[in-house]
This record gives sequence, structure tokens and C-alpha cells, in this order.
Amino acid sequence: MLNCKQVAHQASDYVDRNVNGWQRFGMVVHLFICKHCRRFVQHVRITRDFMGKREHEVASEEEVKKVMKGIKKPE
Amino acid sequence: MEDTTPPLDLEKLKQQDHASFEQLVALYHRQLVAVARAIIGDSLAEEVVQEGWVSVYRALPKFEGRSAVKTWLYTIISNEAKTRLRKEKRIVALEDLGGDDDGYLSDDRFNAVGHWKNPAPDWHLDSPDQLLEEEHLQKCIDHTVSILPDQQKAVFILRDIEQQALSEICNILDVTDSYVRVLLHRARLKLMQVIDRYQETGEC
Repeated sequence: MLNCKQVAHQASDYVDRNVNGWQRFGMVVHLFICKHCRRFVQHVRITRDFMGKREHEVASEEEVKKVMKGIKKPE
Repeated sequence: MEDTTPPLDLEKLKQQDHASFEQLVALYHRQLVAVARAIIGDSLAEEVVQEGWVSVYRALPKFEGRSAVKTWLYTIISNEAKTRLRKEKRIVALEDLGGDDDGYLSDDRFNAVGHWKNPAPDWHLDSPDQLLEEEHLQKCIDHTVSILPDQQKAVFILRDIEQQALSEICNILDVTDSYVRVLLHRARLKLMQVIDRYQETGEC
């Protein structure tokens, strides 16, 4: 049976569904009995989903101008 | 991903319309620099991306849309960076995956049999939407992402922000699947550490 340390190390793979059937089964059994690991895995999931929902970081005007200057350069 | 910018007009881009191209640059420049940095290192990354944009601009009329624009961009920049890397005969050191795992999951958080001795604290803000409402937390997160090691940062941006498939990320960065997964987990742990602290103290 997995211990908490192993569950914590596999938490991202678990929430991303990058584990095989046996690994998943081991995680599910452990999470059923361990509230600390349930919380930890939930934090990984919240962090991942939160980052996916944030606004896209855009380049500054200066950065865009610099690129456009390179595009307009005669060959 | 919530995006307030107008959608890219693919037809205009293919006609090399400058305004649409500027929009494309604004949307992806920083992410492309992060990816280039992971491949070729800090000193040449900006230059490689600058040259990459010229290649992108020239190739736009031939873009067939077989992949998403962003996947196409990442592929072009990654190829440019890899070519440059070969030319310069540079060796960019990969992060050491052994030893200190991530700080957040250090041995002193677990007892001798691997059970939590010091478990993660409860979060009172416990949904992505609640976290999104915290302006100060956004700044803490931006800062933390900005100081992630280059490869960790590139993997994190590609996977959790750009939602690229793991196989794509392996191709773009020329690294293995297991390496990508380790880097991704480490990046998330660093952010979780920041969120833990913010939830407890209201500070970064």
C-alpha cells in the first residue's frame, strides 16, 4: 500500500490521469483512508485549474515593436 | 483559459496583415522566449525568438492549419533554438533531478514510515475562482513563475497555461515524458507553497 510520501509525489500524475490502472487503484485506496492526502491532492488540482483559468500574459508594447521592427527590415 | 483579447483572425494572418501579426506577437512572445530559454539558455533566447518571428511571418501564407497556431509557433521556435544550439555547440545543463526534490515535500514533512508529520494546511480559499479574485496573490504567483528555473518554467507554461499535450511538450523541448512530469510537479509544488503562505498570512 502506498504511503503519504509516495502519494504526494504522484499527485500531479494522478490529477492529470497519467497513471496506469494499478497506480490509480493504489492512489484511490490511500485517498479513501487519508484526509491529509485528499487535501494535498485537492490543492494540486486547484492550483492546476487556477493557473489554467488565469489571463494570458501578453508582451509589452516595446517588445511587440522590437519584433515588428525586425519584420519590416529590408532583406 | 479566459482571454479578453479578440480572437486571432487566421485568414488575415495568412495574408501577413500587420495588425493581426502584432496581436499574435503580443499573445505569444513571452511564452516563446520562455521556451527558447529552456532550450538554448538565457543569453541567446531573445535573439532566437526575434529571428523565429521573421520565419513565422514568412511562413504564414503557407500555414495550413493542421495544428493550432500556438503549437505551430512553439514548433518553429523550438526548431530555431535547437538549430542554433547545434551551431553554437552549446551545452545547456539540464536540471539535476536527483537530490533535493522540491523543498515542499522535504523529508521532515513525513515520519519514518512516510506518513504526514506536517500535512498541508487547510485553504479557506478553496476553488480556482476564489483564488482568481485575490489580486495580491496574482502578483505573488507571477513573481514565482518568473523565477522558476528555465526548463521548469517552460514546461509549466506549456502544460498548465497553454494546455499543450505532454507529447507535444516532449517534442518541443526534446525531453522525455517522465522528465516533463517531474518538472511540472515541482513547478506546481512551488506555487502551492506560495498559495499556502498567502492563505495563512495574506502575503507572498
